[in-house]
Amino acid sequence: MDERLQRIQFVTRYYDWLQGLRFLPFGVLMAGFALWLALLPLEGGTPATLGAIALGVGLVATLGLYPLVGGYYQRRFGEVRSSQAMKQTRLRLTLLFAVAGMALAFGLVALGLRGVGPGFSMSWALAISAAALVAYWAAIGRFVPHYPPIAGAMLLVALLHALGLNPLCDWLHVGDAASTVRCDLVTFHAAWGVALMVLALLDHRLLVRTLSPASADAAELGAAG
Amino acid sequence: MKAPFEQLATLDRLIHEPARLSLLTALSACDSADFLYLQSLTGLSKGNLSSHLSKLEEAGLVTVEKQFKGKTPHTLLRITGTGREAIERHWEQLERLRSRAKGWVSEEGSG
Repeated sequence: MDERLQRIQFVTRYYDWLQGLRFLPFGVLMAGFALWLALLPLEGGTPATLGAIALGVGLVATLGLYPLVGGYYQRRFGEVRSSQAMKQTRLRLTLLFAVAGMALAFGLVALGLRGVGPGFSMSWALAISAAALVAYWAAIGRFVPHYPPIAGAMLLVALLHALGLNPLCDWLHVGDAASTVRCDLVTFHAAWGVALMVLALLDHRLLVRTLSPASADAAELGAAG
Repeated sequence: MKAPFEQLATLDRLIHEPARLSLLTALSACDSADFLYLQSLTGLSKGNLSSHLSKLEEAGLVTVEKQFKGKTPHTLLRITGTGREAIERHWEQLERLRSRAKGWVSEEGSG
């Protein structure tokens, strides 16, 4: 099968998941949270309750936007209903990544409780996140080219963080334990936020390039000619 | 072995036409898709797309289901079992042709 037909097959199969603008608010939310954390005054510490509330409200808002943006894609490009086999594959993938994410979170908490340094845990979290991105890319058929470079960038951030060369930590004047934790949180949310935004925009671009709305008049003229 | 152009002539022309090949490829990757999606995918006008879909429907390769969403007509297209077999057979045929074509090129190059 040639590249054009492969692209058609891929875009039709993963139509919902390639609707990048649906995922863009999640990236904006995470990057915004990272920025908010970074701009908090050092003396005041981290107001955990306020942060959790802000993140929760943002998450509800982005979840509300998800179907609305889906409606935009349906009006602009039309509707595709997935086959039963595809629905099962997608459900398996979603469950697999959700379970892996929870295992990662619990693992990091366990490492923290055992007294392992916070910077070390966060580097691992980012490295595993990069591996998850590559696994996701492989699971959906290795067709889209932009996942591996973004995973590579995330791995680079993990490496810089592990080596103590994270520029964000320099900017945040990391010294004591509290500011180290804050730098970890800022780095993790900023890395995921930026990665999600870039992936969302590139997925959207792939969809728009494959599904250019028909120019009715031109096509009619071409057919008549 | 058949000559190159004879082999090309064995391809089903109903399926091999680029727009119809795209339509069947898309429909084989999902349960169903609506008219607007297929129009976006192929870039065809409504008239041309209807004409291609009618040919595929007449051949029993797709089914057309007309519904209403409120007052707006909504047309859903679905590939049939025959259509799925036909498109898979067609891809296999194209792959075989492609691999043989490589042979023709190397024979010419060595000769």
